Amino acid sequence: MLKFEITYKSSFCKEWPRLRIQNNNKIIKEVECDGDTFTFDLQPEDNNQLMIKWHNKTEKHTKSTNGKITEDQTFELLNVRVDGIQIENWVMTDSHYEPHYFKGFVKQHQEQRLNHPLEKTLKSQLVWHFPGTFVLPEFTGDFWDWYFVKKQDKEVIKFLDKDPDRINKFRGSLDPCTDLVANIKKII
Amino acid sequence: MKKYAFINIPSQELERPPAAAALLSSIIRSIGWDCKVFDFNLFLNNAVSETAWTELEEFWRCKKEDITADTRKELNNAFDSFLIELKQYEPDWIGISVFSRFSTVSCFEILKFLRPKIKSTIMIGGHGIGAWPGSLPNVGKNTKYKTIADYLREENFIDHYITGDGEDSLKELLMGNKYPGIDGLPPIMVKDLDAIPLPSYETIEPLKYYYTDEPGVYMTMSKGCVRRCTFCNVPDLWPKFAIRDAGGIVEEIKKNKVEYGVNLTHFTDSLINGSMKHFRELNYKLIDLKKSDNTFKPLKYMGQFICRTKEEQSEKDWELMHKGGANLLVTGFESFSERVRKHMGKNYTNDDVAFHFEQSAYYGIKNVALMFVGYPIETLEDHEYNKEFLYKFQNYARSGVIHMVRWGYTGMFRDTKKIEKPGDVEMIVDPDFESKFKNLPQGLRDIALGLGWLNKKNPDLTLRERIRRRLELHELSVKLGWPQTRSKEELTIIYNIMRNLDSNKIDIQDLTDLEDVLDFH
Repeated sequence: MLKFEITYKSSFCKEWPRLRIQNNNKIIKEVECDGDTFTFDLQPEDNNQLMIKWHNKTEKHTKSTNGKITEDQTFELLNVRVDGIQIENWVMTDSHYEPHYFKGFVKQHQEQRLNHPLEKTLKSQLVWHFPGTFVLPEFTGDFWDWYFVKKQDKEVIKFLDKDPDRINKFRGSLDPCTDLVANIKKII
Repeated sequence: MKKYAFINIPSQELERPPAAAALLSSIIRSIGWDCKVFDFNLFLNNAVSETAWTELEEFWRCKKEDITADTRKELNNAFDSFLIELKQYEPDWIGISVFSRFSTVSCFEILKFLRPKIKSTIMIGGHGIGAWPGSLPNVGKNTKYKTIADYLREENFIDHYITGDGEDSLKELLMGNKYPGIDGLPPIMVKDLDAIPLPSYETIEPLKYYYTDEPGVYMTMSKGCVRRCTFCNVPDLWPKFAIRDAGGIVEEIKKNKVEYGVNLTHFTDSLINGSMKHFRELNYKLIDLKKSDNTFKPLKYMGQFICRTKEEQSEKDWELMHKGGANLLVTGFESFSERVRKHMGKNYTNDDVAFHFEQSAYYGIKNVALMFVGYPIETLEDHEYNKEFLYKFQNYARSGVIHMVRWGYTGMFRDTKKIEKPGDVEMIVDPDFESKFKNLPQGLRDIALGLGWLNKKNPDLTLRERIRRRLELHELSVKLGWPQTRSKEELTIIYNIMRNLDSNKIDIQDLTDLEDVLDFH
């Protein structure tokens, strides 16, 4: 079981943002975001596609006067911890948001003939104005095994040509040193 | 104006500018001299082929006795080019910084080359100069002397040397005065850390170096330690704990960012949280600096740390560290047996260790855990605690909270008297141990010398058993996904020592059997 802790910032307009946490399309938890943190437990399956769906915002949850927004329901994802461990930023940047644009907004966009289409997915988008689905990177098997491998891939190690032993020294190694260990065992 | 050429030599990491050069060059300038830093380590890396560099690194680090003719040729060519640069500066004095025992061979090589070709007064300093002279070639001749520095001075390779802190003594030497630490006089600690000029990176700009992730600088905030751990020589080097004013440190960090674009400060201190009051003040000031201007937001720091009890700290302290930019803590937990730690002089509980990791995890602060295998009182039960450590904190290792673990060489004590405590530890040293590995490369002999002991009060902890435990922890670390630092290097050293004993046709049992060792006494 993994314990997720999400820290967020939200704003109220008529009601608070409501989120639905899903793994592989199965609902894990419904959350009303009227504080700054919520938690949920995840029992991992073989493959895991974790999503956070913001489902209650409509055009009615934005108030404006003379074209200026005076009150708005918004959500900003600030931080993720798993089992009390701060998750590195790449998990967020590898995630994406799929906004469900309001019909009125889509129409307005078309009328303005903006020469760029509305993005269907927004990479690493953490500040949300439209309802939608935040899709975290899919992980298979044990979460921490997956995390370790991905984390190693993301690490920047410069000037390896100048110091080929740099990974061993500064990043650590899981090299079993099989022959070396066997040889020492033979001696002792 | 007198001129001083400060030479930095291998073997040192190419990560950041050498700290001693940056600091001491400023001090030399403060007495009205001109000073130019020559980083021969960096110069050599750019001058020779990758093959030669790799071979030279092994040579400097005493893994091999000599170098091939091709590498020797490349080294000599590099020396020739370096000499041209050095002579252009026309120094009155040359100072060679011998950072550690892995700089002694290169120091000897450069002195053999330079001494006949240049008239400048030559001096050396740094931790390496107090090393056992046996780590230099021609061991039979060298071991007449107590230290490498004595040998080099008596044999006229140098004119002067400084042991211990150089901040005050170097100034005094250049002004023609006698002072502790100069030419064999017992050293004293630097008098006032706050009176020292800020380091200068002129000619050794941080961006010129080959950083792993981002450019950084070394910085010294304190000297000495607040603890007296049995195995540690820090209190011998710096008997008192002295620390710089927090405001001055933050000013230096700010200057390094503004002038050199440096975000990362790597503290060289034995511990950065020796004074909690000071540490909190430092973090508060760093937070204020970050708030004052977004330019300073990416500032971060790393350094050695001590695990404290929960009573000595709070969650707020960890929050402050996080906000202040704590990035990586190198912490000597040494053992997960409270009994062993208590004997060492570390009076915190396993709950305190857990709290340390919990808080690090919560705030995303990485750790390097330094551990010790085969401490003289360590029993099999204590060893089991070390294995438990790997299971208990496995997720912290896989998530990167524990960035790396280092298990060390297995108990290595040159000065066994230091560790003795009546009732627990009575060390017996095999008097014939040295002769049993005469074929070992010189650089490994001083490590090997530290292994020839047995605790009469814990006779099951033989050398064989210590190595068995070391291997067991290595294998378990790999199995559980704990990245280890320098493990291959350390296991290679152990293998070479043990193989040498084996090839000398000495029964290993002779060394590991208590009865045999007792027979010597």
